Amino acid sequence: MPNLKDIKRRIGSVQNTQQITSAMRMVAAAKLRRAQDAIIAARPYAKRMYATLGEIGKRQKDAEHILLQPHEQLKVLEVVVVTSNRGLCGGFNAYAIKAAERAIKENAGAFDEIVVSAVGRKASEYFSKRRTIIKSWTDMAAVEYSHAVEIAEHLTSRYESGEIDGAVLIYNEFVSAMTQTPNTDQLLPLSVEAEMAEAGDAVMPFEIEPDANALLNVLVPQAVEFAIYRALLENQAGEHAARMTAMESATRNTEDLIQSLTLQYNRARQAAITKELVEIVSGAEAL
Amino acid sequence: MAVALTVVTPEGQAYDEAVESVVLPGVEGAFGVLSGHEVFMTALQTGEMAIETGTETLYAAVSKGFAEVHEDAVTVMVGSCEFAHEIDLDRAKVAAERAKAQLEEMRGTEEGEAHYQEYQEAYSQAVARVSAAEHK
Repeated sequence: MPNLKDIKRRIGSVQNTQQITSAMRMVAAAKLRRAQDAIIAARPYAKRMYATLGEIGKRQKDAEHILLQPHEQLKVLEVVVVTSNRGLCGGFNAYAIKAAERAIKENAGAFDEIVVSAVGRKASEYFSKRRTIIKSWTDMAAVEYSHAVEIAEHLTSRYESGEIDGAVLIYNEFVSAMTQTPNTDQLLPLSVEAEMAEAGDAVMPFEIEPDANALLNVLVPQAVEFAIYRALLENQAGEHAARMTAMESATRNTEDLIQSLTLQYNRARQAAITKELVEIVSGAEAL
Repeated sequence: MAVALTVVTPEGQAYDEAVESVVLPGVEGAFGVLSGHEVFMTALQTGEMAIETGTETLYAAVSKGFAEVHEDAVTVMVGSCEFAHEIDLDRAKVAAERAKAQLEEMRGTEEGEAHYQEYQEAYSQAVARVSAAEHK
């Protein structure tokens, strides 16, 4: 028969765990709200930028930019994987890593070599043992635009110098608090055809100064930066959402556990009382 | 007559008010916009933006981006926009010194040449912050 004291101690320890998981759930919920606000705040910028990009692409059919041009020979592909820095968020990071492995396999035929860059400690830990890691960023606590600029500069300068011939970005997209889906986006060479289609046929009555190409020189790197920024934001919101869900079910599990332990405890207590009674009664009978 | 000025950055809308006029750091030199300006679009370089609200002049450091000018509305899209009151002048000065030292140090070295633009950009951003903060 289990010892009463042992059961009591286990109930206590499960209760402590429950306090931690439910606190983590609430913290994640608060952070998720902030992360969602950041995504919403970025929307007007995205809308404006893509509209302008599409507009210029339309007007200037021969518009050229080095980041829009595919390289003739495809030698090196850089895969950028975005994950969180911390665990305890269910399968969130595993999904992104799995999607990255899939992307690596799919592109193995087209490129001679595939290298990885990691954003977030989880991706960095996973790939440092398995692949060539070019660079990893693991010290980005809250997402800032300057982080995206840093990553974008790393990639665009490598693309311009011909060290890499393509870059894809893999991250978890925040669909809702319950769902995050891994996404694989082509980053370099950048494609603006989708934006051009969205811009519609109406040509805005604009004078462009100094000319469309100068504007492209600003816009295209900005579009790359923004694509990365967006991935970082989605990843951040997704991480908190995944952690919230994971911690919610962990809290529920501790409740079940406490219930069954309490049942066990009461049974043991009753058994002990019955035993004592039997002993007293049989002791009295013996007299 | 007022101009509706909107400043958007990836981190959110930084400014959205009707103003008297605004001076922006265009790639071919600073230009001012009053109501009734010609419709055009231009790239902006890192620099200082001055907003005339009618009662006061607001200064802000902006990074690279572009601007759309309509007759009575201006939309500015930049990577970052910091208003003078948000900038700590002393720290901005220190940062500018550091950026300058780094720029000088890297000049001539092989790695420095490759990343020259980045250092140049960091330096001009630091200078813009200082000059915006000094107008406080």
